Amino acid sequence: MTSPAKKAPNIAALENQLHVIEDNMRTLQKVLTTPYPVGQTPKEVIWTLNKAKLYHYIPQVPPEQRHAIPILLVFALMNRSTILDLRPGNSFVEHMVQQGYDVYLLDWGTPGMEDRNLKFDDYVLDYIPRAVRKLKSFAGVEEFSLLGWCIGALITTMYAALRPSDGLRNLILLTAPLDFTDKGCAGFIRWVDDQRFDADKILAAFGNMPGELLDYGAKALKPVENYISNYLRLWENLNDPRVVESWHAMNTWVTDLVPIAGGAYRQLIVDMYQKNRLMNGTMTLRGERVDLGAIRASVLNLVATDDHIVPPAQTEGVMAKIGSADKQLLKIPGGHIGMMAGSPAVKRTWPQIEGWLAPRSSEARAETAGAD
Amino acid sequence: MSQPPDTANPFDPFGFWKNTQGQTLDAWSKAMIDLVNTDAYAEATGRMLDSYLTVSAPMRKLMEQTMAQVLAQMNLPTRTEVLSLAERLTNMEMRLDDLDARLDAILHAVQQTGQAVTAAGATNSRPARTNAQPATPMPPKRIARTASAPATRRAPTTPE
Repeated sequence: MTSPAKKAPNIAALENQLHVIEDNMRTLQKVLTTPYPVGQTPKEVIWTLNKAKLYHYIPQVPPEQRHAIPILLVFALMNRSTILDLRPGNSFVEHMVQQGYDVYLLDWGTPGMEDRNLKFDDYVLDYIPRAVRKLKSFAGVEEFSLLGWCIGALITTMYAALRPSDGLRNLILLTAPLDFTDKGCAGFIRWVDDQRFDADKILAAFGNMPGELLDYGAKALKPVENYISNYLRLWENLNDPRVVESWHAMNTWVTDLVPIAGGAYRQLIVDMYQKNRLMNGTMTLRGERVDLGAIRASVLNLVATDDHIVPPAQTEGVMAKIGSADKQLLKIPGGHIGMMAGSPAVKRTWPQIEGWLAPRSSEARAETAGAD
Repeated sequence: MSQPPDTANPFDPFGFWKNTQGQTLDAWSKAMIDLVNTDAYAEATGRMLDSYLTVSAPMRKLMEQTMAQVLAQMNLPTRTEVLSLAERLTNMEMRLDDLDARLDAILHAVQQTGQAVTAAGATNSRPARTNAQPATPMPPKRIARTASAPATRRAPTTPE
């Protein structure tokens, strides 16, 4: 028979555990049901077109300490560009502003049904040139740097090839899906094979490619991590505010889904994944052939070694085709998003980008010829 | 959590998952990644999606036709008509954007001419003759400004 003296600590432990569970549930509910305030770096809208907005981030260093060449950030068409400004202390935008860069960000917005016919032609030849025109006029400069991430990198690469004399000095590509030669590599390439995937049928049903379907596809590539491990990691760290805040911000970004305009999605699947037109040299936008050899800007191409969405094989091969004399391929440990967001990115990726860009952002052109 | 990781906590509802994670999750994860990267998985998901789209297409078409008829009867614009208007608005926005850029160019040219006239007047008492370009609209992409020169006209900004 158990004595009352031995029972008491068990009840206290149970009560304590119930309190812990209650607190955890409260934190869990907050994290899962309320959005984190992503994108906090002070900014202003200087240009809009349709759903797109061009943001200018308010400089935080004196003019004499700033770099002469501004940088324009272009994110992918799916998900929000706020991943570049996730939370204070863990924001690429904030980091670059503090390093003295004049930072601009082109946010594509959310396409509606009226945008279902928007194609890469429109993004590359209308939206980006107009945003660049406004940037140059606003900043009073002739040259600028461009950073593209994922499909944003695909768009900026095509822009750099088609408009090499627009004043583009530096081009930074992050996890750029450009080369679909290897049909057996990981990622989406097996799923969207032309024998089993009909993009037109999806677009006939939805107009644009729904964000939910894109999200399912991205998560299904690593189902256990995305649907189980991710939540277990949160549960195990519910009493660590730093981990909870980080998870909350990332979850807010991941669940804020954006569809891709139908026309652009069709080109991504058919022209890129299925026909590999960019690498074959047969990609045309409004009749203009996209020739990667025409790129003249200095190029930094960053590959995430553990990227399951854009495997390194879909990026590395492009270096031989790019015409720039100053070009560099950089392999960074990490995944598609982890390469640029999270503490490893703060310590590893951002300093490498900044280190490459700084000498190329002065008034006079630096004599930098990088290795392939 | 407050419990040491290797101590089973009977009150923790996620205890089972934590133990499972340590023992089998990594293996399970690798197996699932291998599975989703097979042709068989790609084939199966492709067929599933295709079946859904094929089955739902007639229903969707019927719904669209019915809605169009109902809206027409109620003297209301259909979705297609609203979308067409939205597309026209975007085209108008583009034209306004071009006009805005040209205005920027004109103002910039006027300012440069003014500066040239002032500079010439200060160094020469005779009527100023400058090589400054006339204030004609220029293709926006050809506008040249030095990095140190301030922008002549900034667009109205919207604090976010």
